[in-house]
Amino acid sequence: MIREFVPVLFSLGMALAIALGGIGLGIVIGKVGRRNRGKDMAYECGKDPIGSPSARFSVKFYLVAMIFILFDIEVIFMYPWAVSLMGFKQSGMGWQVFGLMLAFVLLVEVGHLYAYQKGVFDWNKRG
Amino acid sequence: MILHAPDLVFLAFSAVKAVAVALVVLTMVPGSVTAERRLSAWIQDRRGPNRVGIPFTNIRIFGLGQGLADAAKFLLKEQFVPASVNRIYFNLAPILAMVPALVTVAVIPFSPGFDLRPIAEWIAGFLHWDEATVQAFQISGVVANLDVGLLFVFAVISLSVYGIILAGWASNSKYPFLGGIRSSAQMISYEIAMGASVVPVFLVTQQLNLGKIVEYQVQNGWLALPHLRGGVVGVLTGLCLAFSFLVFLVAAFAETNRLPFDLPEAETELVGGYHTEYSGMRFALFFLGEYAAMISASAIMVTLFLGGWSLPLPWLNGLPMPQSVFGWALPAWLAGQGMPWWFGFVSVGVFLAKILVFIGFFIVIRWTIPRFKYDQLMNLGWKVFIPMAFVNIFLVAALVLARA
Repeated sequence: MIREFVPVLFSLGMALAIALGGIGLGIVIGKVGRRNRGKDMAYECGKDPIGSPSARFSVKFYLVAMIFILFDIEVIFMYPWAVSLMGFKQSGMGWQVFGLMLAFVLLVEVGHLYAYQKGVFDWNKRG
Repeated sequence: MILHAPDLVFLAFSAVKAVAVALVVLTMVPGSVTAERRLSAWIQDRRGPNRVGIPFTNIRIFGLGQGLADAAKFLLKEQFVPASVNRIYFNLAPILAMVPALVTVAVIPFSPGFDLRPIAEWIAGFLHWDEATVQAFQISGVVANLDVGLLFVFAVISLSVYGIILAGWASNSKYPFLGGIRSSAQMISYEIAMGASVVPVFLVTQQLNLGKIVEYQVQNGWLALPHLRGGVVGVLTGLCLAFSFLVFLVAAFAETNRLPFDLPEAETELVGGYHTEYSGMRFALFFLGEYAAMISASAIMVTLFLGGWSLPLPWLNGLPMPQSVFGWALPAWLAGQGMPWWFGFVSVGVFLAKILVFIGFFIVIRWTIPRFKYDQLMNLGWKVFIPMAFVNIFLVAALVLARA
């Protein structure tokens, strides 16, 4: 089991080597330029930056992130269920297991519909 | 832990495969960038980059040298880091954006396997290897043959969100910040649709291991194509799986930030999005990450729905296999059983050809369809694709249970 994960480390090492090697080589052979105040400023189409760089943004992004966690766990929960459904079918419990998952998804769906009705997914409305 | 000779053979070939796969992806990236520029030029009735060929000669070979020239330019330009950024995260972000795309390719099977035992037996005559060592020369056609294959893919793909949101935040500037926030919301939204759209594949194949999913398709037909076996239930299952493929395809466009869903970098509103402040090799890594993500997304689609490394033969999907075509007798292994040893190498080419078709599709879509608005994107994700993907899961589950 663990043995099969060792090649993943090789791949990870290769990817890291390419990334770090690329940045390192760029620093070594890349052009060395002069610095000045204008160049060091954050880019705002040529003007001096106005106000704080971390602008305020819609609270909807937080809501989407929270609902994502709900659904992501739901989807991950479905993977082992999907793989083993045929096994349950052979032991005669297929529809029972199907019903259990349907009940679970419908429960989560209540939360989804609540968020829907509250307008979390309506991006052209305020609030 | 003591390493025996078979383990060493396994490790050595795994390392060779890992390096080879990474290098193939790395050479495909400049190739697809050049292809993208030429295809976009062709769509817009221009010529595109057709000058750069072999260095120091006048041989142009259709501008294929353009990718190399771009890479050299990225290396030689000033690697500028503005003073206002958070240096640690600013450097970490491009690495985090590129590494996941290259690591996902590790679990994708590109061949049924290479049987090098005859060669090993020949060498064993000189070096006195035992039987177990010779058996270890039967090499799988995947870098890491994980039983949790697809779960691993989703776990790693999720990490690329960090690269983008970190780039936006560490740049300490308004455009990258907005681009990063937008991008992360978009990617996590479509990740759910993507994750839900593959559940029907598990229901039908009972597998998470990508290699075994491909073998299932060799025996029973490609999952994205309509099935002709199994009566009404079989045909309906096939249609539901084709719908899964459609959802996965759209989600893949959103996940890789490609047009029509490239809002994170929407250059008309956000300058360059999350990589506005980047230059030189750090920018190149974002670029590399985007194209590598495109390649790995294509590879996953090909593996899950279009038969992976298998040949596109109509009888795999239930049509009767002809005995001969134009008087040529067909060998029995074309039906999917007992393939000859050299097919392991041919299938790599078949797999790459399928990926190239998808990359071409990604490119053509980019230059023909306009960008979505953000509210349209979120509506499509949360109100259309996610509910439909869940309904599709239960449809397929019911069909699988109803099947005799």
